[in-house]
Amino acid sequence: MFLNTNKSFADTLFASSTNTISGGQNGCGTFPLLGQYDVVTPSVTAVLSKISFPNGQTKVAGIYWYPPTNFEIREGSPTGDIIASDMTMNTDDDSLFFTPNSSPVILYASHTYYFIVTAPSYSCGAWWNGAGGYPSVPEIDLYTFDSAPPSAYINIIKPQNETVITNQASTTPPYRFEFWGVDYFLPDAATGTTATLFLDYSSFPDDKIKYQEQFINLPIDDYIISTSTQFYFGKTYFLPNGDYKAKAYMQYQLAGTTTQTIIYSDDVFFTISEAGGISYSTSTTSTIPIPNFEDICTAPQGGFLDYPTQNINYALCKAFSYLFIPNQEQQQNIQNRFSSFQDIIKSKPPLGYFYKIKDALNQNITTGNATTTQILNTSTTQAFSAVFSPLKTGLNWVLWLAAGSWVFIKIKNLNI
Amino acid sequence: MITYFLILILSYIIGAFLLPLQAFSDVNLSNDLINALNQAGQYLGYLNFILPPSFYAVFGFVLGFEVFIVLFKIINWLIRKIPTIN
Repeated sequence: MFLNTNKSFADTLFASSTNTISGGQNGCGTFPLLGQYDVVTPSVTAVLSKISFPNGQTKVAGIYWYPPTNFEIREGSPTGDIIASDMTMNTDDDSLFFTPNSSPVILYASHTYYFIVTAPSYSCGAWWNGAGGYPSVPEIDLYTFDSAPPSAYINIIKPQNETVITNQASTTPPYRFEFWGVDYFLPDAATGTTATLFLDYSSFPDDKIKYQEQFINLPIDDYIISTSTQFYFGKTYFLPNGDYKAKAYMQYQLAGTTTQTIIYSDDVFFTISEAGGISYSTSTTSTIPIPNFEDICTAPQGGFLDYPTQNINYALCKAFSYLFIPNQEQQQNIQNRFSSFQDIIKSKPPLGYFYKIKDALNQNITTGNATTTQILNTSTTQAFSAVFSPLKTGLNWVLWLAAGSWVFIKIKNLNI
Repeated sequence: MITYFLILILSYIIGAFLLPLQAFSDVNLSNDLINALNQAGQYLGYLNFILPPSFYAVFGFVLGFEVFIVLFKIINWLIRKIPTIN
């Protein structure tokens, strides 16, 4: 819970809580601003000292407050966006508590908040007779946040309903999967922040990108506490049986800066199979079986005296297995090291440019984002898949053969 | 154990070669360029039902080969500019 009853900010914020209101309030008309406070740390609940509430009126610190007295929290400036206004008044012996009627949109401390008390209208001569001098702004206390904003993050939202994994046609692969999304949070983001969202689906463990989903100019607005933003790509993909890895990342540039920052999600490992549909795993280890000692070395049926040769073989087998077969931890370490190399190569010049261009180009090629307004759209082309699929396979060979012939002729006639 | 350390040594050697790359900042393309590439990809995507995956690989292979020949000729030309080499 991010709210507590810590009122330590109140003393600082409202040390001048008895400010005298300027302007003439005696008479009829619209009552001006009663109180305005810079709320450096946001709050959702305010407390006003009160005396009594006779006849529906609220007397607080010598002032009778009549509905519809407004209590607002505004962002950025006294005229900024209202983030909490519709509040319920509750009372106890000493104080009025104003609790927002709905979840208020409270921003983190990088913004300034104004707690504003207004009495828009009053009955002529009824609310206050001017006796005792001008009214003063009542004492206000605040509930404050007790936690720091979390760091920026991005998480993958896996499809909740695994039945979305269905066969593309009869019982043959590739299998369809869809409804993936991400939720993300940028605590320092403000209006003007730009971001591009990526979601890669790679085969595993060879880590070859099968699909890359991308959304450019992701709308980023001021972020609110405990409310991240969810984004669903809403596209359908097809993959054959196998192990896969999904990774999301966001490249963003905060408003008013020139630095591009990238945040990554944790990897989500999943397996697609005809029998089991989709299954998730938190393990970074492939489901491809890795031989271990037990698989390779068969334990003898009895002790050394009964089965000396088998026992010696077993001991040697275990010894050589220990020497030459890396254990799971070592394999993971090696894999992590080589994965980091891959990340470096893919993200740094000069090959990084190649990968960026390839990924950007491949996005719509692999997903086939043809719109329905085009003549060749997905519905018309799917009808011909029975013809074009084998044709594509054949063209693969033809193209490589043509390329090989071309290189051979080129080298043969090369004049340097 | 032995295999592990051999591979680990290999990884350290590769890591040493990649060390200069880490001095560079991550590659970033402007949004305009990414938009343009996406658009180009979309147009190619319309032909995805007939274009085999190897089309792009073969195209890259041929392009890479041509670039290699050009670079080879340029380097050869530069070497011949050195007075003591014919």
